[in-house]
Amino acid sequence: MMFTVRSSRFSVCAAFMTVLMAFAPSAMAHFQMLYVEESALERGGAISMEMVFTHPFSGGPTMAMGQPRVFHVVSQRGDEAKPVTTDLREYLQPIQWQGVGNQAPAYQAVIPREVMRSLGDYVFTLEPEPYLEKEEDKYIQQFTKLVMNVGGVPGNWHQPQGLPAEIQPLNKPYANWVGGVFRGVVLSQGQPVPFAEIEVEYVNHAPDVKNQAFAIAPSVVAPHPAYGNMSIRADANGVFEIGLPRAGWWGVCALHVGPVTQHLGKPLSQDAVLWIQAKDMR
Amino acid sequence: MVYLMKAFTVITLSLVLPFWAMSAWAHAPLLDCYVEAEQIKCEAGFSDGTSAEGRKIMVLDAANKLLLQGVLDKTGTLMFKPPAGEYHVTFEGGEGHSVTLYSAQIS
Repeated sequence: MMFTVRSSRFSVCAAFMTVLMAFAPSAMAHFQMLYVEESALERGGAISMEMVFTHPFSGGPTMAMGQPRVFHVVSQRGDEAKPVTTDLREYLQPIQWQGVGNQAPAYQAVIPREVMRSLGDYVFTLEPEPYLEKEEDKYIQQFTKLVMNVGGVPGNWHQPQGLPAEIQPLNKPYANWVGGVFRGVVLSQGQPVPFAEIEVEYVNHAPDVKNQAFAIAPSVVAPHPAYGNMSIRADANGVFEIGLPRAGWWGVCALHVGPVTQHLGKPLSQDAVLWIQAKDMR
Repeated sequence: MVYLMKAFTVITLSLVLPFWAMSAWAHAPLLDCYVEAEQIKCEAGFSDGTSAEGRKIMVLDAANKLLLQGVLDKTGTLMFKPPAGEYHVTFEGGEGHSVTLYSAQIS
């Protein structure tokens, strides 16, 4: 009888541990998403862009993201052209995003054709208000970049945007084959951050823009918690390199790299996020 | 007949793949045109980011008669009034590289 009770307790404990292991990574890895279905457009036109603060590998829990302080795009056609900055805040509208397990305030921007019609690169930057992570009693602010292209003429995809916390891409974020590698540099106020702490996550629950929700079912199952939120370090020059083993969106987040460390009397982590899209070679 | 079929295939391919078919080249010409303020705005560039400034754009009718010719400005742009009837726009990318866009693809 004792054995049965112990066995039962062990089973409950094991089940609890399994649940913990499944969700433990999600407690760590916040990612400010800046999402479009397609980052490399053949031709320009109006686009819809979604902003969700979540844990993309587990599809949730999703947090109430801070009001965007900055949301703009810097576009450039060709190496020698002058970059053009367009403030996009007027296109923002609050939405409710259904994550896996909960719903949370998010934002959507319907960006008109006149902004996105020309050939060239489009570097989108989002700076949200700091988010209070109550569990850890600290604020998180993620300076987030999404790079798009229209028509294949490159421009400023690799140019730093002068953010306090930033990932400078060394590969085009919108043109990556599955199985390829992606490289970038972690910057703090424009300077490389040696051995920066970086988290990498796959968007594992397909975003459904029409219904403003993540798919309930994951695309892949992690064999171990360390696979869901992958933690890596930059090298001595702040450079990192990741493989892209699956088609879809990959988020890279460099933690605690911005210069401001306090907000409203609490610790603040200024992180840098960059989104990368990979496609199958077929 | 075979020759005609080949010509047909080439024309069909050029209709389907008007502006990025040659993107595998290291220095491929790229072109897009659209309607803006009742004019046709053509933008051109190269896949390696080289400027198209000073390069030629030709607008031809369905019988390949030259309707107008212009030079791209420093932003790689040329604007013109839309011709009546069907037409196509060719960007001369140099070294025999050119790219063509048909009026049916311009809106």
